[in-house]
Amino acid sequence: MSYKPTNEDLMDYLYDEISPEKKAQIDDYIKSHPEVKEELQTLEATRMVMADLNDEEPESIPFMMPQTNSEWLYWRKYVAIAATILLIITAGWASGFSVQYTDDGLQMAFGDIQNGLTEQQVADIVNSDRQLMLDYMQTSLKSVQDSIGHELQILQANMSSEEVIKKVFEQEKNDLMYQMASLNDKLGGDYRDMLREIVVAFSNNWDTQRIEDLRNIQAAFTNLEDATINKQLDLQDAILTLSEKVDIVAANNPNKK
Amino acid sequence: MKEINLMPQTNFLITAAKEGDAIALNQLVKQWYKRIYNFALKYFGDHDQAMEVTQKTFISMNKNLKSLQDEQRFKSWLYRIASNYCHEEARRQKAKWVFPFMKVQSKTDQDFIQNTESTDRNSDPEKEFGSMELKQVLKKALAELPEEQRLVVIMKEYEGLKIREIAEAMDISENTVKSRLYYALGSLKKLLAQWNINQETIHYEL
Repeated sequence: MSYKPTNEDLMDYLYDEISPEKKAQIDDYIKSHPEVKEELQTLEATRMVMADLNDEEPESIPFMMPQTNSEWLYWRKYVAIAATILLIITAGWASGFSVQYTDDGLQMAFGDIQNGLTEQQVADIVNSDRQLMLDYMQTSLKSVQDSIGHELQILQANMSSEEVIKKVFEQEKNDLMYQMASLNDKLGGDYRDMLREIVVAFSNNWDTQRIEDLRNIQAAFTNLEDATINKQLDLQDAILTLSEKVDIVAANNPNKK
Repeated sequence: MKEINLMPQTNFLITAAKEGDAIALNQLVKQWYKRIYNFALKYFGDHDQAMEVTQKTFISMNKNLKSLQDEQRFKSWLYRIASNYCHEEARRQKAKWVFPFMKVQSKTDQDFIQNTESTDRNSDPEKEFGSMELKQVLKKALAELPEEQRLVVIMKEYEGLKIREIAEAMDISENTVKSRLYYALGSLKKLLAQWNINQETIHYEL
């Protein structure tokens, strides 16, 4: 007995999608092979367990519309393309878009085509600008040179005349003197103010000191006065007591009379 | 339970819908909407993604129904569309990088929260929560499978497609379908054993 069912055959058997002849063949095989029978049984048990997972209700069923207007759907995209092209052409015409092909290449523009500057033109502009700048700088340099030379000449001429030097020296001296005098005045004024302040402060201080002293003396006098009055009162009391005592003594000694 | 073989009127509906009959088309959608939704739901385990795929699938069906030549193959044709969208959606979700705090509460989460609140005085919360949890575990088990095995298992176990139809839908040979099924069932068996789930524990919970 060389027949041995494959795993695939066992599946056929398990799901009962098998021809009767083959089924009989496998039945025979199982009789002599309990381990295969057991395997089939556990697989069947697994199926039973898995069958416990029940169906669930979907929430809603959609309503489907058949595509009746498929003719239009077919043409729709071509119509869309045509409309887009028309739109582009209209927009191009409205904005005055134009294209020109020349030796220099393709040119596109809204409105009239305006050529830009060529390389040579740009170079010329740059060169002429540069030349202009150079000329200007040279001219200004020259004028500066000229003015410096002029100043130098004047200076040299003045140096040679003694009178001018003296005059300048005199003027400088006067200026200096005037400055010093004003400085001195300013300084003097300041000193006087400061001195006056010091004297005032000193005299104020002196006054307060004197008043304080007088007050102290007065206080001392007052104390002395109080003390003297107290003494007098004490003395009066003492005399009074003494006279009383004398009276008592006199009364007790009538014999003396 | 899963009596979803091509109903006798389906062929007629397809023919009518192809000719632009709105009623036939909507009947067709009505017949298949729940199936495709559940197919996608088991693929993702997520309501929002399942809805997304379902809607895309039927929009595509509406658009391309005319190109379907053999009406007998409508079922596998429809599942092919759905599984393609599932694949696409999964890839898109993977590419999309979502911060955890940006995640919006989905319908599944809301259901989960609502299911924990018992409305019936007599209902046993433990029992209800238990069966709900089992559902989550089974969903998780499906999610653990590689995509191609998951698709095959869902189509076979929950959608009841024939192996031949699955092969047509996925554009692979029948033998490949069978071997994927074999490995997928093996993986599921291992996973369930790992989580200690078998028929006895389920019946105890139920």
